[in-house]
Amino acid sequence: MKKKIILSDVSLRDGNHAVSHQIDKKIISEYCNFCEKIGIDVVEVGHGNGLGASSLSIGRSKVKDRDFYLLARSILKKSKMSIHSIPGFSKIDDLSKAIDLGVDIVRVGCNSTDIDITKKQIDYCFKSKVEAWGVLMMFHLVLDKDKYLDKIKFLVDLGIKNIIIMDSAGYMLPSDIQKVFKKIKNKFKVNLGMHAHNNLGMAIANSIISISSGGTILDSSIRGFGAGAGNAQLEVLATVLKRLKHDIKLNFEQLYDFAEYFPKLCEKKVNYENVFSNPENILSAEHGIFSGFSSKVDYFSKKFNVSKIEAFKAIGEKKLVAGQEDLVMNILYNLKNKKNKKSKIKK
Amino acid sequence: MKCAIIGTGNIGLDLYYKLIRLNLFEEIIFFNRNQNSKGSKFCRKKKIKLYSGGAKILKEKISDFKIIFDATSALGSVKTMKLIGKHIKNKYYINLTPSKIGKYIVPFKLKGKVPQKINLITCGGQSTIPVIKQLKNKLKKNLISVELVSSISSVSAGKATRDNVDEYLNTTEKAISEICKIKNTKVMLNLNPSIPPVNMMNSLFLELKENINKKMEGEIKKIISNVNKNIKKYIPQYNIKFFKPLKNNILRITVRVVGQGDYLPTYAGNLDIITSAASQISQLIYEKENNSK
Repeated sequence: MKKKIILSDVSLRDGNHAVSHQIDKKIISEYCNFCEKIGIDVVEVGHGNGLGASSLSIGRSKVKDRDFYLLARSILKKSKMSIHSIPGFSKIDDLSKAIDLGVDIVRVGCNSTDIDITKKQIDYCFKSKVEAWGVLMMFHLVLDKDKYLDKIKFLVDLGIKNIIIMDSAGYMLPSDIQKVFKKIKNKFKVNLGMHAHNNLGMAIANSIISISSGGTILDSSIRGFGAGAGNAQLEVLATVLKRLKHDIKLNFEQLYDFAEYFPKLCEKKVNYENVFSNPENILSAEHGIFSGFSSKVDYFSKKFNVSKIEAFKAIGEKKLVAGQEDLVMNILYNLKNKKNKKSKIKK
Repeated sequence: MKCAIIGTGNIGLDLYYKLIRLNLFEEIIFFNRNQNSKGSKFCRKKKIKLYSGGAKILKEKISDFKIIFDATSALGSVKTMKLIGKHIKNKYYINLTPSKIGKYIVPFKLKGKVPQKINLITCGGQSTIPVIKQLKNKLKKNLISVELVSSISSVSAGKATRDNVDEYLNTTEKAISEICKIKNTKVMLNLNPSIPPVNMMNSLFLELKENINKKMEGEIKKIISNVNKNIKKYIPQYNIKFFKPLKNNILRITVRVVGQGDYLPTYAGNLDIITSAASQISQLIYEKENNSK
């Protein structure tokens, strides 16, 4: 038997992106019960952008942070409960309240380029005796010239033992993952996890190669329920891991039953259809843009009558990062104006 | 009239150039702690007067100065205040850090009374409070909540900003609540890693109880253009834009701040708006002191 993999389920957090943060109490409670029953190690819950991110600009969540965490906490016993926290959206004050509600793991993250702003929250978690993981979001931004090694060092020096490589844009390819995981494992004593997005159809392949390159933690979600083209699909991932003879102690019968039931549960509640990689998901990955932007780009490109290819290119050039959803409108508005000017000159 | 600037980081040096341009003060002297820092070297190269003994030396020389600018950090300003707090009667202390010391001030429409300890809030606060306050005066109880999302370039966010994200959010929310008298405020901050760096951009979302009519929309546009004109006086490339409501009860306003490129590059509008505000206030103090003589 090969090494034990820690399965971390992000359906109730990343999945919130797929339904404009409208996950409701019924879904939370049924899903938590499911995770607890089949034996998921870690269950992440909350608004898509994490603690304190419910807002007009990103989207208000149907269930408030506090109620969300309390409900999940009341169900999760064997499975650990984790939350995502991005400084700038969340404050220490929010973090302190969440910790009081009994969160097991705080996954503190931000865009990899600016990982140093996580220090205060990570220190605070340690001071409060809560497990903190580091999350390097939009990891592809630090691929060039191995810039990520400094970022990993920063987190390791803070005392972080678990780091998630988050391919927020679904940009990375298996060859990238292999190189990154091997280099990090060679230099640092740290547990590594992969958070994949499926924009380019690579979520499962990226997850699997991360394991053979030294990783031990995998993020996934039921039916791939997540931002953009979704995450690594839990039931596919678990099956592949089993075939590769990893130590996966899941109840597969219940897993498949629930995977079948889940779209029905969502359709009724949150108007969610199973994800495919739509052209806008492919384009967002090509230009290295956070998957969650797709719905905003879709809306404003129709409103301002600009092509999606142009829209994604323009946003990619500005290197927008998660949280800058507000700027999609401005960029597409400017594109429209430019286009109008050009057509006037032609006339 | 003489001024002291504590801290020779980006903010302190940028402020220096703005004060020189005002051409009102006899002397502007720097105080910092590390004589080998980048700022110290810069001062020596440019022959700018500097004492590297920190706030202790300033305390000894304090009687020379009328205005003291604190451009250290949130923690630094608390330490400064401990040392010089008792010795600044009849002087002005202008706090450019995100700490809580001083009364929140936006120089827009500041007339007559200038408080003795001044807090410049934060870049997000300086950029948007004037327009929020004017709109609150107009919309009154119809305005139920305000959300501000500020995006600044990663390279313009120095160590102090990065260490003080929490203070930044708390201070900005509190200042909007207090000055504009709005209970529900939410502030968020994004760092953008793009190269070339992006200009500072603020998005405001104003949530209303009831939709506004065409007439009100016109009045709002007038208010916005008026605020724009007034702030441009001290930061010329400041620009507010109004977007027609997305959903009917949400007003969207964006505020772009392009700096003047004194010591800091123009994309660092987030820092420029603080040094511009400090310089504008020092001019008001100068006028007030000279009128009373």
